[in-house]
Amino acid sequence: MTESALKRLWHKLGSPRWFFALTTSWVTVLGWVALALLLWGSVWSLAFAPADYQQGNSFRIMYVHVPAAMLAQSLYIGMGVAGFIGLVWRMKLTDVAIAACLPLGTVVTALALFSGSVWGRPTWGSWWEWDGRTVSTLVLFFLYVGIYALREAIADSDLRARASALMAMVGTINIPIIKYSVEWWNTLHQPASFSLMEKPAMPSEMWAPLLVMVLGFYSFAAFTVLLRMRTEILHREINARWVRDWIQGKESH
Amino acid sequence: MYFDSFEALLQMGKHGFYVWSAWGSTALVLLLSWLSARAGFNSAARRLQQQLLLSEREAQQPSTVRNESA
Repeated sequence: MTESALKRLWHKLGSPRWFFALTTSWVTVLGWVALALLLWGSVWSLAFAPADYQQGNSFRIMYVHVPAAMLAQSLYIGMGVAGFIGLVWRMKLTDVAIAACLPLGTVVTALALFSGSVWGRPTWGSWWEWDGRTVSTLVLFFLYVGIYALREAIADSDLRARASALMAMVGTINIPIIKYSVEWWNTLHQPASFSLMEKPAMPSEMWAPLLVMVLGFYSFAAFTVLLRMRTEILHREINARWVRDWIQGKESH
Repeated sequence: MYFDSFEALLQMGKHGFYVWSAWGSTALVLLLSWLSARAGFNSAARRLQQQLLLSEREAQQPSTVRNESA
């Protein structure tokens, strides 16, 4: 690809209109894929996967706790990357992306903390431990809430976009802290269940349903984030000619 | 199935309460996230439709609308 073609693609990527048209069919497909994976993964994890020989059935909480925690971090990294692109290249869509990641990011972080707490009670004997990974995930939750508050507090849209981009970027420092917390500090948390480089420590009957659940969570996230981005684009481009055309096209169907 | 009966599945050994509250809250969070994202999109589309209808009416009878408001 020539340099100018690359440049054109880059500009296209930043165009709300192009993005809106492109993602129309994606949203529907992702929604159905997420539903199928989550249903399949749930039945498999709850009813068919073998119980852990030490933890018994409480280990089935892992199948929601691990995907929630992974998604909580991924969505934050996504916001950080969007923030960086937004600050450097002034791309309009990046603020739309940050706004769309926030709600799901906040609730899945809360879900990771809650499911961890419920898992901790039968496994560690306490609802809450001031453990490195738990605390850094709590910090992640506060970062999400902080960006939320920031966006509510700033009326000027340009300033709001820059402030939340900066906060999203700076906050990503916390992500490696969450990741390495189990190595840096004494912890009750078990090491990562999945790694790209190594063979899983669990037998395949245990990690295969986890993989399905993780894929289900990520498809679900892609689905809702895209849907929220499309909503935000409609709000922002309400007076644009193409939005009016789209609505008219929708009416005639 | 790993369990002998449906009751055993619900009981999860001694861990039914923990397992089902974690899974229940997950189902609730995902369901509400989906519903709120969908409601947001639908209301934005509805608002646009109303706005379009309004501007079409104004375009059809520009003079009368202005006279009434004056």
